[in-house]
Amino acid sequence: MEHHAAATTAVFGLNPMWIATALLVLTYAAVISERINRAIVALLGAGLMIVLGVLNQERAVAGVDFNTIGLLIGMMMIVSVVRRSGLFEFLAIWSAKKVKASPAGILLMLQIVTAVVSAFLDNVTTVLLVVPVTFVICERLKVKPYPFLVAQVIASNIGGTATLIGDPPNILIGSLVGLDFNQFVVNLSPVIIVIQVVVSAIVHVLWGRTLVAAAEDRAKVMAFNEHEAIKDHGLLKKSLIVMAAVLVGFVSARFLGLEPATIALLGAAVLLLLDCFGKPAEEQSQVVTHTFTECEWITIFFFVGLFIVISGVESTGLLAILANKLVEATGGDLATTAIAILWASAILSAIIDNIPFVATMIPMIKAMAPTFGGPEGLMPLWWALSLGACLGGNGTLIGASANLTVAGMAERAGIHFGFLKYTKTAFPIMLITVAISHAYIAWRYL
Amino acid sequence: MTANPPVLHREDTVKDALDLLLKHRYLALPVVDDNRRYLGMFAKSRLFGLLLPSVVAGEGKLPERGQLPNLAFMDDHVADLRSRFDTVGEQRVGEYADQTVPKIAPDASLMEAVLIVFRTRNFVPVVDPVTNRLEGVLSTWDILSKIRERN
Repeated sequence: MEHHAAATTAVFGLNPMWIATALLVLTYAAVISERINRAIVALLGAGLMIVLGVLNQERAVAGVDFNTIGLLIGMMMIVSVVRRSGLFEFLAIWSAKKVKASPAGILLMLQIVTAVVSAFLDNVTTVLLVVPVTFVICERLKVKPYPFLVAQVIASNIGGTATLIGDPPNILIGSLVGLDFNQFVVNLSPVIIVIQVVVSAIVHVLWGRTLVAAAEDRAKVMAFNEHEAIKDHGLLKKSLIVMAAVLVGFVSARFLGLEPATIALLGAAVLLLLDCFGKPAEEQSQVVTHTFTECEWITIFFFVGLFIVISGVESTGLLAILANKLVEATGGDLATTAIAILWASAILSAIIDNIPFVATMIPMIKAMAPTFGGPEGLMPLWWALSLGACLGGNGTLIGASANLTVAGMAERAGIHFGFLKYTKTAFPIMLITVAISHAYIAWRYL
Repeated sequence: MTANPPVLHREDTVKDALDLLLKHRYLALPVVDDNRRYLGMFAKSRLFGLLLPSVVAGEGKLPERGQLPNLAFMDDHVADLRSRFDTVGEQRVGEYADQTVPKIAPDASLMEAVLIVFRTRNFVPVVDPVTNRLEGVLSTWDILSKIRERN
C-alpha cells in the first residue's frame, strides 16, 4: 500500500502539480536546447518524477505505452534485416532507369519512392536508405544533389503522414487513442497523395525543369544493373513475404483483435527465424545482436522517459486544465479547435521536436471529449494533430529528425545544407501543405 | 621506433602520396605541417575510398543503416577508376589526414605500444603530446626485430 501513498505525497510538501509542471518545462527546454542527448533528458525527467514523489514506480511504468515501444522496436528490427537484402537500392535504381535517367525524372521518381517507403518505415530510416543511392546517381549524372536531398526530406515527412506506422506522431496517436491502421489510411492518405502531387510540381518548377545531364553520363546510370543490388535473393524473398504478412496484419488488426506492437514484433521474430534457421548458433547470435544494435535505442528510451514525464503531468490534472483553457479560447467550437490544433501543431513542430508535443497534446485532446460529444467527436482533432505535427516537421531544418539526418549526410559529402538555406524553401512549402490539409479537414469533417 | 620516417607534407598531392606509398610499400604515412607538427595519418585504404562514390568513402561516420549494402550494380572499369583518380589526384593530402588513428607518446609503455600495434595492424605515429611534433613511427617491424635481437 505504501506506493499508493507515495503517489500523492510530494517531497518538501510542494504541490505535485508545480513539481510536475516544472519537470515538464525543464524537459522540454533541455530537449529544445539540444545540449544534452534527448534520451538522457527524458530519462532524467522520468526519474525525477518518481524521486520527487509525483508518481511511484508502478504508476510510472503503467504510463509507458508499450504498444508504441513494441511497434517502434519491431519495425526497426524488420528494417534492419530487410535492408541487408539490397531491396531499397534496387527500388531507387530501378525507378531512375524507368525515367531513362533524366535528372528531372529521377528527382520525381525518388520523391515517390521516398514517400511510399516512408509511409511504411520511419522517416529517418527511409532517408538513410534512399539518400546514399541518390548521391551515387547524382555523382554519375554530375548534377548537384541538393535539390534531390531537399525533395526527399520533404517527401519522407509527407509520406510518413499517410499511415499509422509512417511517423512517430501517428504511432503515438494510433496507440494512445486506439485508432487502427485502416482509419489512418482512409482518413489521411487521400490528402497526402494530393499534397505530394502538389509538392512534386513545386519541386519541378523550382529545380527539376532546369536540371540537365550529359547523354554519356545518363548512359552510365542506365548501365547500372539494379538486379545486382540484390545481394541476397533468399533474404529478399523472406523479407517480402514477412513485410506483406505484417501489412496484412496491420490492415486486419481489428478483425484479428491484435495490437500493432504484437504484429510488428511477431513479424520481426518470424523474419529473424527465417534468416537464422539452419545457421550455426554463433552466426545466429551475430545476426540477432546486429539486428538489435541497429535499433535506435536513443529514440526508444526518449519515448519511455517522455511517457513517464507526461503521465506524471497528467496525473496532477494539469493537462485537463490546459485543455479547458484551449476549449474556452476556441469557444467550444469544433471547427475552430481543429483548425487551431492543425496550425499550432504545424508551426510548433517546425521549431520543436514533434514527439513530446504530440505526446502532451493527446491527453489534452482526450480531456476535451465531453465538450465535443464523446470520443467520436474528437476524430477531426486527431487528424488535425497528425497532419499538423507530421507536415510541420518540414518547415525548418530542425523540425524533424529526417531533415537533420540528411543535412548531416550532405555536409559530410561537402554539400552545404544549412538552416536558412533549407528553411527559405521548405517553410513556404510546409505552409502550402498545411493549407491543403486545412481545406481537406474543413471539407471532410467540419 | 623509426625516428625519421618518410612523411607527407600537408601540401603534397594525393598523387604524391600514392607514389610514396608505392615506393616504400607502406600501409600509411604520417602527414605533417611546416613545423613537423603531426596532422594525422594518410592510409592506403583512404586512396580506395577516393576511388568509390563519395558517399561510400564518408560512410564510416554514418549509422550503419545508411551504408550501401553493396555496389555490384555499378559496372565500372579500370579506366573509370583511373579517370576518377585523376580528378582526386591533385587534391592535398592535408584534407584527408585521419586524426582518429591512435597515436602514442614518446614515453608510452611497451605494452601500450604492443597493444596499439596489434589492434591497428599498422604502424603507429609517435607524437609528443605537448608540442604535437611527430617524433617518429613505431611499426610492427620495430617491435619484432627488438624481440629477435637478444644479444
